[in-house]
Amino acid sequence: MKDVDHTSDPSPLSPPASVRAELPAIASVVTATFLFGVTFGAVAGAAGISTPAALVMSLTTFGGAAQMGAASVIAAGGGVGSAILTGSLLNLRYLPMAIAAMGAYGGSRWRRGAYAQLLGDETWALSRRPDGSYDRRLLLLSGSAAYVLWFAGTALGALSVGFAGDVSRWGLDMVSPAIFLALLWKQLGEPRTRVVAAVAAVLALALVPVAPPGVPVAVASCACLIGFVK
Amino acid sequence: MTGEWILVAALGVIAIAIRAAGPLLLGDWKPSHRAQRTLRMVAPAILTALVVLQLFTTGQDYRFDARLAGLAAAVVTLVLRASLMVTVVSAVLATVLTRALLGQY
Repeated sequence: MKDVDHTSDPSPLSPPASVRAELPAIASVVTATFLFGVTFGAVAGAAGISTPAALVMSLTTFGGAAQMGAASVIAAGGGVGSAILTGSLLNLRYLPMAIAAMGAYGGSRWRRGAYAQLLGDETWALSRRPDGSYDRRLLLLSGSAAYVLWFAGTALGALSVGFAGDVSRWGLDMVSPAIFLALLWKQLGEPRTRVVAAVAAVLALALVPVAPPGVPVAVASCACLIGFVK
Repeated sequence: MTGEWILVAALGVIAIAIRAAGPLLLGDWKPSHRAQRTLRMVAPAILTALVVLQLFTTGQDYRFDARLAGLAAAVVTLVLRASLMVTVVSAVLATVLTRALLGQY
């Protein structure tokens, strides 16, 4: 298919059109979210976390990496305290992510805080426009869809413990990095962004052996400060 | 599991607080040009960190394994400008096939 240049097109695109254009991407992201949910449900069940607890966690925490991290700590015989710490550190990245997206939400600060609860890695990255602003409709629509399917996936996974087996067996451990890489790929055009990405990669990898899970990503997010340098 | 509801409650409350903190505390703050550029760099920084950790580490160890084949497949599809689903499926299949070839099943 030939790429068409829309930049000189004067006709105003209605917001729903931007959502329609992204429907295939939304479908990919929520499908992946569903599969990740199945994986989490199975891992949580195998770790001895009851199905109601896993389901409530998916409704309140709504963070794949955090929930998986916490469940892994429990599965490895760790305590509740270290599971909470691990999961919460893995969620720290939502602080700068919510700040980056909050301008798009509109409304009172309470409303914006409520909308931010729908933030997820993939849907947030998907809703980012080329100029760095965020598409409100995409944030809310893909966020809601991901929320529902994350819950449904958790339910299926929790109920099918014992059938699913190891995550890596089905290659499901590649779903998340493949999506992140694809979303990142589109953002690497600017030289400064490539520097930020390189610094973030080095920071994260350097900290892995010495810092607790979650800290490497949180520290690597500080690479964004390169954007503040003149 | 004992204490699972403490885990669920604490994780949930902290997660909600983290997501709400920026919008609630910063309110109507209008970022400067440089601040906006900094915020724009948050996504690539976090995505890169997540990708390299998910691909090259297991727990707190570096591990280079069949995931490299998945990465290679994903990069090929991205260079060819394939859709997101094609990238994901290619990465998964390449990883699964490589694990099968390495006799890891």
